[in-house]
Amino acid sequence: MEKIYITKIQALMLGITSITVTGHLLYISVIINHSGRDSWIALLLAIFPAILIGFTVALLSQRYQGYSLVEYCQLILGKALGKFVVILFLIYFLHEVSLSIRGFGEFYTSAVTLRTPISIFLIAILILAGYAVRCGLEVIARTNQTILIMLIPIGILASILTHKDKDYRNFLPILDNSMGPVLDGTLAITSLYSSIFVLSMIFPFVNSTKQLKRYSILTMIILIIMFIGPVTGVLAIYGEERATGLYFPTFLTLRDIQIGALQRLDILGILLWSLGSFAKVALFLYAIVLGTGQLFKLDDYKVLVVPIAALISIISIINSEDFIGIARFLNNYYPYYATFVGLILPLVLLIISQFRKPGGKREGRKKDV
Amino acid sequence: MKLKRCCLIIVLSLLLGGCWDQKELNEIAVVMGVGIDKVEEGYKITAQVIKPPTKENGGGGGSELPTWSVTATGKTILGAIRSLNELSPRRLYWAHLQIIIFGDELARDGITPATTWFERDRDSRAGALIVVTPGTAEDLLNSKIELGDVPAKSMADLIEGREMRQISARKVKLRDLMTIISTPGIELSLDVIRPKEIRGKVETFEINGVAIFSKGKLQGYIYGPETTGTQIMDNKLNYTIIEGSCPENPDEFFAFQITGFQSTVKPKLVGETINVKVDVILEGNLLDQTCALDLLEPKHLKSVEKEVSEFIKRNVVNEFQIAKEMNSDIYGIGREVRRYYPEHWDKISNSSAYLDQVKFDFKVKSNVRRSGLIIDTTQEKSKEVND
Repeated sequence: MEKIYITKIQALMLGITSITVTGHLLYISVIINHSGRDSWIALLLAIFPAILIGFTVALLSQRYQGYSLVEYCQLILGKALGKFVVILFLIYFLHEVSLSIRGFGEFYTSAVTLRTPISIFLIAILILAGYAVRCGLEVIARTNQTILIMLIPIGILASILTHKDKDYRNFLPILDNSMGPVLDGTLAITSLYSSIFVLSMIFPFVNSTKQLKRYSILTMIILIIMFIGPVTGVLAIYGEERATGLYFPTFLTLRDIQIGALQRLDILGILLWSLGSFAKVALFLYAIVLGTGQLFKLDDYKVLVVPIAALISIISIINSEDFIGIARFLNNYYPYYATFVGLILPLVLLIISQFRKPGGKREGRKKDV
Repeated sequence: MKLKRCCLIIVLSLLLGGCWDQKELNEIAVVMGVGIDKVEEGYKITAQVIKPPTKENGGGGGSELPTWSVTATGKTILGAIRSLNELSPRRLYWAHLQIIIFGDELARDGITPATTWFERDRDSRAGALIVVTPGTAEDLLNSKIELGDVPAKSMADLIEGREMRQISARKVKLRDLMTIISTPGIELSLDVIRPKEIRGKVETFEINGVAIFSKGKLQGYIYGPETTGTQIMDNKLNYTIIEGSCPENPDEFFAFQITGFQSTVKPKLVGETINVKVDVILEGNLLDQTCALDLLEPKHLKSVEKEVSEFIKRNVVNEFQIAKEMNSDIYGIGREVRRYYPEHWDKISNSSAYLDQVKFDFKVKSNVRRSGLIIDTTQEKSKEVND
C-alpha cells in the first residue's frame, strides 16, 4: 500500500459532495413523495439517525485505526463471515454508484441533451473518475475540495434567487396525515445519508483520527442543513400536489428563476451536478477498487480501475430499462435496502466489536505499511 | 507508446462528428408565442416565429411583419408540432417562448390536456405567460398591430409591465398554472387578451377582464372593476388606480394611486360558516379629482379613505359572487380552509357548495400619503377667485 495522507476535513468533504449531489438531483423527489408537505419535519427528525451514522463510521475507524472497512470486517467477524459481509458492502457501493451515474445520465438525456445516447455520459464520467482514481486518493480529495467550495455558493445563490416565488404557507396544515408519512421520509433521508459509510474505506489514510467522531457528526449536521434549502424550496414554490411527481424538482426550480434579465440559470445546476457526480463516482470507484484489491490481497489495486469502471457502466445500464424503473426503485425499495447495508450492518459490526474488545487484537497498525 | 498515441488519435477523431444535440442558429426558428385552438381532429396550433432579417431589408423594418405564423393540426400538441415542422423550413425552437394563448373553445373544453407537453418539454420555460382570448388564438396572433413588431412579444410586454402601466393583470405563468390546477381548493383565473379595433381596424391588443375556470374548464368572463378582486386577495394590487366619488357630490370623482399594498387573508370557522378575514393596509397618492373640494382636509380625507375601502370591499365581494355562480373558487378560500381547518375541509371538499357558506369580514386601513406636487388644485383656486 502507498503512503497517502489526507486530512479529516478533506475526507469528510468527499462525503458531503457525494451525498448532496445524488440527494439534490435525484432524491429530493423521493423525500417529497414520501412525506409531502411535512418533508421538513422528516428532515429535522433525520438528524438523529444521521448523527448515528456519522458516529458509527467514525468510531469503527477510530477503533481499528489504519484498517479499512475490508480489513476490520474480517477482524471483527472472522475470515469467512467477514469476507461475506465485505462482499455485501462492495456490492452495495457498486450498486450505489451505478444508480447515481445512471441518474446523472438520465438527467442529461431527459433534461439537457435529448438526442445524445446515455452511454456517452456514463463513459465520459467513468473515464474521468477512473483517471482520478489512478492518480490516487490525494488527487480526488483535493479536486473535490476545490469543487465543493465552488458548489456551496451556487447552492446558496439558487436558494436566495428562488425566494420570491416561495410561499411558505404551502406547509400548512402541519402533520395532517399523522406521523406515518413523516417517518417514511425520515427513513428515506437516512438511507441516503447511509452511503457516507463509504468513507470507512478512506479513513485509514487520514493523517489523524483524533476528534474524528466530532467532525463526522458535524458533517452530518452540515448535510442536514444543505438539504433544508432544496426540500423546503421545492415545496414552497410548487405546493405539495405539484411537487410530487417531478423527476428533477430542484432542476426545475433553478430553470425557472427569472429575476429581470437574470434567467435560465439551469446551466448552474448542470455544472453543480456534473462536478459533484464526478467527485462521487471517483470516491466510490476508489473505494470499490481498493476494497476489492484488499479483499483479494492484490499488490496494486490500480489494475482493477478499468474493469470495475466498465462493470459500473454496464450495471448502471442494466439496473433498469427505463428511468421510471430507477425512480420507482429509489422510491419503494432503496430506503430499506440502503439503510440496512449502510446503517444497520455497520451498527452490528460496532456492537460485535464492543464485545470482542478484550480478546480481539485492535492495536493500531503502523500507518505506512 | 506509439500504439497508444495512435489509439488516442483514432478515438478523438470519432468525436469530430459533432454532437447529437447541436443547434445551428441559422437552422432554427425561434418561437415567440403559440396559440392553441380546438378543431374537430384535435388541436390547431399556431406558432409565431421571428423571421430572420434578409439581406435586402436587414434590420430596416418596413410595413411587413418580421414574424411568420404557421398553423398545423394534430391529435395531440406534440403531433401538431410535428406537423408544424413539416411546414417550417427551419426547425422550431421553443426555448424563448413568451406566451401561450388558448382560444375560447379549447379553454371551455379544458386546458390541462393541452399543457402537458409544455410541462414535459425540456426546452419550454415554465415562465411562459398563459392567457385566454375570447375568439380564436390564431386570429389573435395574426392580427397586425401598429406599435411593436412581434405580436407575441407585445402581448407578453403588456402583461409583464402591469405594474408600470398601473393596470390590473394576473400574470399567470405556466408554473403558476401547474401549481394552481393541481392544488385542491383553488381555481384558475387567467388574463383575457383580445384584438382591439380602433377606427374600424385592428390596431392593438386589449388586456381586460378575467377568464374564470372551474376544474380546468373555462366557465365565463368577468369584465370591469370587479377583476381587481383576485389581486386584492393575492396581495398583488400595487400601483393600480382606484376611482371613487367625491364627498358631498357623488357625480364627481377622484383617482387614487396605490403605492403600498398589503393584504392578509385568514379564514375562521364559525359552525358551518367560513368567515374570511381580510386585512388590508394600503397607502397611496391622491393624484386626480374633478370636484372643486379640498380633499386633503381631514374630514374629506376621511371620506376619501372610506371610499377607497368601499372599493376594495365591493370588488372582492362582487367578483366572488360572479365566480361563485360559475362554481369557481378563484380566491382559493378552500385552500385556506384546508390549511387551517383540515378536518373541516375533508367534509366539504367534494363539491363547491362550501362557497355559499363564505362570509367576508373586512378590515381596511387606507392612508392618503401624498398628493403629487400640488396641495390645492387650480380648479379650487379659480373657485375662490370667483367667489
